[in-house]
Amino acid sequence: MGSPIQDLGRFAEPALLIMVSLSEGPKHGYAIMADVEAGTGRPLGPGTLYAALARLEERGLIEALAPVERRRPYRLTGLGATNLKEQLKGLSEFAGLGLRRLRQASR
Amino acid sequence: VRRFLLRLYPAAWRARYGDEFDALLAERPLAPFDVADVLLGAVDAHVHRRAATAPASTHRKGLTMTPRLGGQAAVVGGFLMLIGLPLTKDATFPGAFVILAGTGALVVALVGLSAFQSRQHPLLVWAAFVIPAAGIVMCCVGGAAIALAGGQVLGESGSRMLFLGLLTMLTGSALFAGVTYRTGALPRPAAGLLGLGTGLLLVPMIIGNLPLDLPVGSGTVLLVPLMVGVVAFPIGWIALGWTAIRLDRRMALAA
Repeated sequence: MGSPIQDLGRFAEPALLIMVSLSEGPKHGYAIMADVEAGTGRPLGPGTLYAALARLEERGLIEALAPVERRRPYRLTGLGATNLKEQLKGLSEFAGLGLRRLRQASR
Repeated sequence: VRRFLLRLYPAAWRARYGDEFDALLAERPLAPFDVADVLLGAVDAHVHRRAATAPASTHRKGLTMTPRLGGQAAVVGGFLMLIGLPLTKDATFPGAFVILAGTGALVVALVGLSAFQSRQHPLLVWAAFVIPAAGIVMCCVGGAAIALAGGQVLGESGSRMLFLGLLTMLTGSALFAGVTYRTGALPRPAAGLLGLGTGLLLVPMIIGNLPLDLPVGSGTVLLVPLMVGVVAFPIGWIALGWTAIRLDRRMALAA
């Protein structure tokens, strides 16, 4: 078993994007979709968004706040923030390794 | 449409997420991409609900609409068209069925690759999807009717239906190519190639089937753009699909 995010299988990728979006503060569904699309240039459909939100909420990585009108904001939990940090740290180390090897190869 | 889509989800899911999900769907015009994604999301919600009650379930599998799926469908559809178009002369097996399968794949491609274009031109994107989708339905219903009534799948009527199906696919592709080129959502050279291929196929097909007294030798003149279009149209789809897969893979790697 990997991290709780990786364990989401096909939803690991949208879940990571959602958690990165929530890392700057609580957001409701449409704000998350708009932020992910603007940040990645990649569409996030409403069905995928809520399938990932439900899974993240079940695992205690995000939590729902009181709705504002009909929109319900979500925020990262402490567990979610810790897991996101570990996941991004791992990706950063992997990216660093790749870039170092590329630099060595180009010398 | 929103109410219908919401009803597809399980009651327990609707009780928890229904109101906010409905508010989300109301935020912007729904595109074919969004509708397909919600349909897959509803299937996932039913499957996931069952999986959640099973012990040791990890809920790893699921269905999502992504540009990658659209890109894969575009590559498959393009290859099928590349094989099927030269075989369609008499609308006989296997060319006709290859074209039908290719058209089906390209309709999926239209859905998967049109998410961003539909933000700016929702009506054009819906038209690009609905016209060939209706053409497929007509071809399938007509083909089934001939099979049941006449004991053969394709005859003269089948040939006309295949022509109609191809025409709807080309019209949808022309709209999609135009809107993709205009928005720059996918590389413009690939969209331009698809637009060129579509035009080179559409014009001779329409002129050749009009009851006109064409001058002697015009058939050969029409044949040249037709031959170029037979290659450029599928290659345009394959190029768009390939670039969409590559663009999508960049983000997939990160997760």
